Amino acid sequence: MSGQDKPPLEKEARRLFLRASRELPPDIQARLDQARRQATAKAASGAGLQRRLWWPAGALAMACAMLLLWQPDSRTASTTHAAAPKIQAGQLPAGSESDSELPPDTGQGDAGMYQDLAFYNWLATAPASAH
Amino acid sequence: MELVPVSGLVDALSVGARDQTLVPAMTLDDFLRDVQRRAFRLAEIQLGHPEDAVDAVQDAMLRLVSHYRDKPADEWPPLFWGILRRRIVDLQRRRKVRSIIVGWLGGGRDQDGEELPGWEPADTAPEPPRRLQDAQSYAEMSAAVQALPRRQREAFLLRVLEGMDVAETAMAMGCSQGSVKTHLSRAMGSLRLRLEHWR
Repeated sequence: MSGQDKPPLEKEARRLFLRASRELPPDIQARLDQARRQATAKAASGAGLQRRLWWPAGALAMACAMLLLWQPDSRTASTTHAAAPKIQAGQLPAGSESDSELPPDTGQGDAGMYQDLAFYNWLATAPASAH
Repeated sequence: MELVPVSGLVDALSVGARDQTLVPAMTLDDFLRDVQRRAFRLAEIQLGHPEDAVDAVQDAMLRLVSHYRDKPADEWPPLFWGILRRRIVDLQRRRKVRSIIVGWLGGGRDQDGEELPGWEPADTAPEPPRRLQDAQSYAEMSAAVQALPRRQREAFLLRVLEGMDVAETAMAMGCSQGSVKTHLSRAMGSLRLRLEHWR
């Protein structure tokens, strides 16, 4: 909106406002200047403080990271463990024999069954007329 | 605009590096230097007290520099006026609470129970007629603007006196552009009635 299009009230109000803003009392002007200088000085000191704090913090973080990564003993051990194949419960490694191929466990078997073994053998092989 | 960068702040506060071939880089210090007087008058109209107005402007400057110094320069005006607007509202609320408490404690009145006078502009020395007339007109306008509802007052101050566009005013006021137009229209209606003798 150009100045000529403005209604008189708006134009006059802005003119008065700008004039009043130009003609501040000296003490107010001085205080505003001081406030501005403090604000900008604080920004500068804040930025400097941030830089001063970030460098040591970054160096400390880097040192911690290096310490965690560089541990020879634990690294060797962990590598050995990592190389070994993991065997889950109830699962045999490849190439090993299964339970079914093992000889019968006499300690856990029924003793009576072994005593009657000869009888069962005869029963299986004898001709039917002999039964 | 006068460009006087503060020593040591140029790197931290300068902006518009990509436009350096066209216009000189504007620092935050330049922006604040340009806006501080109008900000004071705007705060004074709303708060009615120069001390509070200086405090509000100082606080707005600090907050802008602390939080938004890395923003592009074209975003500083709505950010600054938005911060100042909120600061003024805070001060008005505190003052209201303080006046209630003072009222409970029996303050704000003299020994005879008469209400103590509020702040009034300092009596200026004799001036040329035109200047005196302007001062009177400004005082009338300030009083009329102070009588507006808060949102209408903010729309008038930012849009008409500070000369911000509708989008910037909406950003500073934290509302839609339509609301800005509505508030401003109502404000102008009220002011035309109160300042009818200006025509």
